[in-house]
Amino acid sequence: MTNKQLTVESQLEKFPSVLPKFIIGLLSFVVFYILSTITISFKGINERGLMIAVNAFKGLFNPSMKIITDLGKYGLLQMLFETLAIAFLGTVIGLVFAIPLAFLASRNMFPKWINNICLTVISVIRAFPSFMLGIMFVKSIGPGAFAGVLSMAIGSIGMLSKLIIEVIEDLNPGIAEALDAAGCSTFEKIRYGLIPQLSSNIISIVLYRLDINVKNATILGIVQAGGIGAQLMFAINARRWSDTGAMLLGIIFMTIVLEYFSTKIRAKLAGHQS
Amino acid sequence: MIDDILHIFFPRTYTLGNGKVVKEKFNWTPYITIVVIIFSILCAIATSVDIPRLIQRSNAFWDLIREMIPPNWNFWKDLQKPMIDTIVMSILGTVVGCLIALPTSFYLSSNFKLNNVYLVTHRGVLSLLRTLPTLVYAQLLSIVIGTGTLAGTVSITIFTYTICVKMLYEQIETVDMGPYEALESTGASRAKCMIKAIYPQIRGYFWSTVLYCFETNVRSAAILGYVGAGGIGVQINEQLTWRRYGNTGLMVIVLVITVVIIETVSRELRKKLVQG
Amino acid sequence: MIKFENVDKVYASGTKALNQVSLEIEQGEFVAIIGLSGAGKSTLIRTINKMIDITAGKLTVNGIDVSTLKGKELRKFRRKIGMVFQSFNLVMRTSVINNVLAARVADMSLLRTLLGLYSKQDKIKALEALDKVGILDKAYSRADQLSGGQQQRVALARTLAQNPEIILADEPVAALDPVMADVVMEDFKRINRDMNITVIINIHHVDLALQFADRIIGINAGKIVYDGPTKDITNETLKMIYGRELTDDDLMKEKKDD
Repeated sequence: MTNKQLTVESQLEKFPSVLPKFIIGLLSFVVFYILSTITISFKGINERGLMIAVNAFKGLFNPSMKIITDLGKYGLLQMLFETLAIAFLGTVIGLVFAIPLAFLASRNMFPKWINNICLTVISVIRAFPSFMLGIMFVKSIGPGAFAGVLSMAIGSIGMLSKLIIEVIEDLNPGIAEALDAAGCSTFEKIRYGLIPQLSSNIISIVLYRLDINVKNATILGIVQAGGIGAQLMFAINARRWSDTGAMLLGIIFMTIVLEYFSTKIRAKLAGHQS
Repeated sequence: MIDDILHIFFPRTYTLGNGKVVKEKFNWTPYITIVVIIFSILCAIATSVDIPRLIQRSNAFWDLIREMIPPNWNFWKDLQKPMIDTIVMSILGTVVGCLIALPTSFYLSSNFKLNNVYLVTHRGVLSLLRTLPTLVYAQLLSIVIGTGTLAGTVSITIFTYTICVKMLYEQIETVDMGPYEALESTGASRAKCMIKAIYPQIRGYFWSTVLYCFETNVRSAAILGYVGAGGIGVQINEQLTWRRYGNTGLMVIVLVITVVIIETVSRELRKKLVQG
Repeated sequence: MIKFENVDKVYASGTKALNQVSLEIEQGEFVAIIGLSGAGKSTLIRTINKMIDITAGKLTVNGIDVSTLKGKELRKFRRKIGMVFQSFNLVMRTSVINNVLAARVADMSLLRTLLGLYSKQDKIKALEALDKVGILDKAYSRADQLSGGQQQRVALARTLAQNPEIILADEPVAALDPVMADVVMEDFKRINRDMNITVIINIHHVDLALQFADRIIGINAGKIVYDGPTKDITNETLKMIYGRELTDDDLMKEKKDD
């Protein structure tokens, strides 16, 4: 063992320098500064903007009771329901396609080459920007909620499949074997072995995706694919701040209520899992 | 057969040989399925699902897709600036949003026994704001501060802030308060204790969150231009309006590649960060 | 000098943790506080640097009334008192030297704390503290790579870096094996002797208390039942403090017949 002369002085010299961090910090700051100047211009800010902002504030915090209480076509309730309907239907339809796709892509269900084809399909679908899908449907099928449903359906397939694959591959093979040994038919094996294991997980996944889809439904509305998003865009463009306030309130309310129930149900499902 | 169907809906009661009575467990699934089916039909009516129209117009849809292939590669030079704008907006918005979120999250966590009213109200407002997608902020802001990338960046900042703060304060609440107490006993102020005792414990998670927000933001930043808030969204709107589907096809490819690259890199980095 | 005058501590739940405690501890003493778990040892020690507030009586440290301290004054007061914990309370993910330097931030500006800009004197002080507890060679290792005993010595070095007049230790060796416990207690003893720092240790291992401390304070249900030099302790006094015979749990090493 070598005799190291270890002193306070010798350790002091080894103290890591702050210089590298300082340089990185300075460099990042410079990079940010340059980036922001080439992309952002501040000329939009002027007095008129301030005036608009003030008006906007007054209107937003004074939501239009007319819209809130209107039960008709332009009322908040129907708009929210349409948005919810787009999200719900889109999720359900997406699920209908996602389940078989997920099965095909699962390693414990089908051979590998089938898996890989399906996984690629899923990746392609996932990567496609969903709002563009919305615009494309609007252009071809026509504006309105229907286009929204279709884009939402296709957009959901990606994430739903991915999550369902995880659940399928986690399945306990022992249960299927036990049922086989007891002499069950395929139908009974599926009913008593497969479905109980899968159902609570799938419901959980669906609720998760439903939450996300409700948020996306608003976005789709802005590209004319139905729902409250479209009305919102009109209201904002027309500077109808009171109406905007009412609609934003509706969106917030609906999203929070859904999130609340969704979280509760999912927690309960997770608790009941055997 | 009918017996089987009935069996699905109503649990049977069995009487065993020794006289014990056993009731099958009530199964929710069939009922839920029926409710879902009924509700779906309602939704279909509400959204005016029109299958005939779909079949009729589906040709239009496939035509559209066919025109997107092959994509118009010449369009790339017009896409460069918008793409850079989109990515820069995301970077700036994410970084600023997260940097503001970091110190704020400390004051929003329950570890430090700060004013409860402040905590509940601030958190409450944040959870409300979190439900609004970036696009809504972009719409509002483009009217107030003018169209262009500034509106987009600020909307991304706001949105990132609402998400990042929540993720951070939830993480802070799981942290070991021991070192904090130790530093408190040396006479350091609360802020210094937070910096020296808590931050090192969440540092990896913080940067992981920054990357996660960046991933999400790049996707939404692409749309912002649609309402005038800068980035490639402007082009998307324009090209589709003018039915220049060749250009649209290129945009799809560019977006997909960008998102895939960013997500892959981000995922790798995040795995490493959370370990350290 | 630390002076307790008829100090009470009643918690919100109604538990009376300290009952008419009166003591005087001079600068440079080495005091061990012993007693059953829950007898009030932790509470007693934490009132000294106001981590816990007293509910009655008067507590002064070097003439300063502790209950009147708050804000900036409180922080200034705490800088002179170091605290060592049973669970070490180190920041696991950073290096040993960073843990020790953390003790210096109380005197630094917020900006320098944020940027981690320590002065040369700070670094020297931290390294010297590590040297005094014998782990200078581990200065740049990550804290979680060290053994329990080494980690506690880092914690001790951290308090030394404060230049404290008093060191409070709450069960500092309870989580260590007998060999390391000895080493760490030796460290306390050496610091107390060489630097004239008052050392007050909460300890439930009676043998260690008797071995290292000059003065024993026995506490039972919040009351001081014994306060005197170590050499005067007998088995009877121990029974009185604990209210029962000692068991093997109360000793760090093999039960010795004395």
